Amino acid sequence: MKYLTLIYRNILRNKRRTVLIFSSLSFALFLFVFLFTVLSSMDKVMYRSNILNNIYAYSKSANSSLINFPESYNDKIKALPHVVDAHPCLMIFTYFEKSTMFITLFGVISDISEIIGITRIEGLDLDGLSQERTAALVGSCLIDEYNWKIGDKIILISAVTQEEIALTIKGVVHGLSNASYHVYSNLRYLQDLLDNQGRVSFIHIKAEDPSFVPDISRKAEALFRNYPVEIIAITEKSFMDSIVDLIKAILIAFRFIGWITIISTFLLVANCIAISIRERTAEIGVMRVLGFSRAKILSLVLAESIVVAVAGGMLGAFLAYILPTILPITIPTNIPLRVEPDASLLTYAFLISILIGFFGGIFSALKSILMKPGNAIGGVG
Amino acid sequence: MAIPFKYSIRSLLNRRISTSLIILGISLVIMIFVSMMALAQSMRRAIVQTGCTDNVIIKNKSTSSVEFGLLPEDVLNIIRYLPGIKKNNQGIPLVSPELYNRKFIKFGEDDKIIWLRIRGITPLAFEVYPQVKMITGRKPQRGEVIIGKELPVKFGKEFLVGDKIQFGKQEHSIAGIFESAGSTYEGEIWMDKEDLKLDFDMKDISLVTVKLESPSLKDAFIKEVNSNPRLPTAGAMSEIEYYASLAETSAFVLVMGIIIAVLMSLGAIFGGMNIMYMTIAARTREIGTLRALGYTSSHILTSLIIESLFIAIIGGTIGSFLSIGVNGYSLDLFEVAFSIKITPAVILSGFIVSLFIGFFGGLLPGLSAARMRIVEALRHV
Repeated sequence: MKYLTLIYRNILRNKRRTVLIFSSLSFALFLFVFLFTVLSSMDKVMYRSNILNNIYAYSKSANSSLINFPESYNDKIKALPHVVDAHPCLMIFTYFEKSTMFITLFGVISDISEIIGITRIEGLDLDGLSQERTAALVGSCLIDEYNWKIGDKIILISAVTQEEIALTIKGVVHGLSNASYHVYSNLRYLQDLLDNQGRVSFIHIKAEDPSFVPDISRKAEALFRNYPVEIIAITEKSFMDSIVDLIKAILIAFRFIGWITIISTFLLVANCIAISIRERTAEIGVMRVLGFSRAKILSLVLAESIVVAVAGGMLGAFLAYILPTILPITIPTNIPLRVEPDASLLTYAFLISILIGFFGGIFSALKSILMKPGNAIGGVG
Repeated sequence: MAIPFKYSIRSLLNRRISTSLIILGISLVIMIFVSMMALAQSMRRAIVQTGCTDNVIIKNKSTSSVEFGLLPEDVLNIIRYLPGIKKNNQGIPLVSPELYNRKFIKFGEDDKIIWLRIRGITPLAFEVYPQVKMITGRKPQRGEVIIGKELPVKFGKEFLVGDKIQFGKQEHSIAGIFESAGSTYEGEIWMDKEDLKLDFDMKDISLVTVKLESPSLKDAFIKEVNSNPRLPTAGAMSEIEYYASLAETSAFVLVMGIIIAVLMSLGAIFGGMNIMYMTIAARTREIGTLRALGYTSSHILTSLIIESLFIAIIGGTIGSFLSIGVNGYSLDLFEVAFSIKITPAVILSGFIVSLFIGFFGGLLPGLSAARMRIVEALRHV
């Protein structure tokens, strides 16, 4: 503790240099944490823990404007071996009067929170939708964007048929990014309104175990081969992989840029720290003469560089961590991807800062303390 | 008389490690900046130059995208006879009715999901889009498709004439491969409109593209369509305007590129500034000597800024050279298939950024050096 004052004074001895090192590391760790926050948000949304069990069955001839998947297929699919459950779903692209992005409206008849990553619902729950025909559960991101609240009546317009769909908000859905951007309503109500009785957009199938998924997919497709409406069964993982593929280049670029930033900042900052330690060689020689051990001097010098590195790095990391909270950022993929803070990245940033501070100072510090005190004071070697 | 330029060069060569590190830092910043700007611009160019100046798109006016919203095919009976439409050698109005569908398919042994953009056309499409040219094979007949030259990027494999692609209700034979002046059509599959209707049980059409006698007739034609009481659901806009409205995703890439470049530049400026301050500190007596010899403060400032700019130019050149590695690289990003082009304009902007970094990285240290008092500088140990 008694050396803390010494460390503090040495850090502030050359304020300009300290501020510049601090600032370089802040910018670098801010960028690193921000880019990896985007990557981690994508992983969280795309690859939540239960997606390996999920399969979606669509009509092979489905297109954006046609809903032609027979709901009657649901019971046959449910009867397949190793199928835990099957849920018919209607999916309609709609827009609200002022919106520029489409709002996806799901018609459901049972609890599909596990399917789509809903973590919490305020107000009416998904089972309650089957009791109230015009009720809607709205994702929290939409609630924030349009300043809606529970009890509001809204009208969504089908992007394909232009029909108006009148709904009353009865609950708010919280969950992973895409779940919070959708609206959920009563399947029967939507089917009646759009004259789509007996037809849905897809059927969600939940498998007992991921190992059964390929077999269930094949059997489901074979079950309806040569029917008027044949099906294609895709796993949720492969569907999410396809969304990720659409922006794969950007994701690779983000990783590359993040690490390049750290490496180039390390080289610049390490050089500055090394120069500043070399400038204190005479001072280190005096400390040796006064009785400071090599180990003590090394720890003092390294502590200074690590403190500056960690302070600068963590400031940048923390600002990047809170940025998505202050400024909502959405990546325009097929599934709207809202960037969410990731606290684990602060740990990585902390470790990286320590390493930069340590390796930036260690070699010059070792060189200085291993010199003979006389040579160090005289500036020889 | 100004301080000789070779003095600045010798000073840089005297501290090779520090100079090299700053050059490395700047080159990495410029490499990433140029690459990201080229990516965003190439993507935007591919989207926007999909449109022709003398083409007008007529689609369902209630939707922003031709993917949703349909038009009854009998609108053709009205549109064909509107004034201002160019006719071909046979006297047929150049009116191209099209069906557009976006569909995913399973591909490969691991059932990878691939998103396809499929356009159903008539033979008139090739006259309405003269930029579309066959590279190999021929135009499609019933039961066949042609693919854009960038489509193989999605599949990760090359296609040959005669190969088959499975989508919809059947396999489709590839009759030819086309190019389209770098537009987004190069990522599409084109087939006969009636075949597409059968494959996906569609009755109506998605859009009508009309070629006008002259681009100057565009405004009058659009007004005629939008106010025509016999076309109540139709909305017209210029083809260029339509594709520009779809370029939102390229704006995201551009904004991210700028943010990354700004943050990296600031990091490079602070890092470079720090090193410049340190080298000035090491050259204090030298600078005092120069002042004593009669060089003014502005000479000192100019010399140091020239040093900084020289480093920046070298870094910018290396960075631009490194970024050429991505030139010509084909990508499928946000479902837009295109090739990255590093243009002289992008390289020039990279140079400007490097000069910006060099100038501001050297300005404050240069001012600090220029303000030194001669006597104190000469006495500096």
